[in-house]
Amino acid sequence: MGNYKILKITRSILNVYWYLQLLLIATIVIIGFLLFFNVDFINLNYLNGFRIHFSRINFTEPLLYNGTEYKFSLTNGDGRLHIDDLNQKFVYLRMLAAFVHSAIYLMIIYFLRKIFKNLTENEYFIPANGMYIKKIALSIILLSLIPELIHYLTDRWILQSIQFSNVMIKNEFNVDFQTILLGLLVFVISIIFLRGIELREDQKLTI
Amino acid sequence: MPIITNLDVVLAKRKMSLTELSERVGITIANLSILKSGKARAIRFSTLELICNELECQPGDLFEFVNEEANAEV
Repeated sequence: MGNYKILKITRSILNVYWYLQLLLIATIVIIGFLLFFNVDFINLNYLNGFRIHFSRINFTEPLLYNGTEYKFSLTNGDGRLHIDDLNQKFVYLRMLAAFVHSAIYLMIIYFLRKIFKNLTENEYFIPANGMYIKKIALSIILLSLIPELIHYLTDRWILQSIQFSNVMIKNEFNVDFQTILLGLLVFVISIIFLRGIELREDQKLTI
Repeated sequence: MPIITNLDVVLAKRKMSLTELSERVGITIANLSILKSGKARAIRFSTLELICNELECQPGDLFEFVNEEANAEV
């Protein structure tokens, strides 16, 4: 009975999350359409800038310490690049990345909702649950690769268009191995789950 | 599945019903129905022994192998 309550509460939380995610995707689509018809709809100065990785930023102004001037720089860091009056086209790619990210999240929540629905109906070891777990695993792996790939391509495009004199920017494809491992773990669990169902069926149909 | 069960044929030859066989060998009708309809995935030797003993037949009388691929080519 206690487990049933937890399942119901989790299902309700997932439902709320599902609608929030839908709202987010709808917002992205609406903003995309508005931008398409009116480019000045979003002022890039109000955006949080583009995420970048830099290998070195050399400051032209020297650092004053005890009356002595020192040259200084920042190395190996992450930051957000703010550029005034930049071509709005970059925004579309950022929005695409956000859209893909949210869509994959939505898929995961969708499958989780389906699993929780089955669990609240006391259907635990059914092939559908195994298939949902498998799809969640693949979505997790996609989540770690696709948005990052779009970010990488966007950054590459931005960096090819912009020249910096005292900033060295890195454009790396950062694969989130932890998420991939998590995805693989869920994938293995789904295969074991499905095999378990198969064995149970075999057992049931052995006379 | 290429293995076909001829339990119904053997039962008809012996003029025995599935219920009667079920009572004699101590296997539920549900399980015998699974076997008869060809839905069974496996059969234990002990079950086979009981059925063959009761129906006075050989395992080969109960099952038949049909090569589906060869039949499809023909």
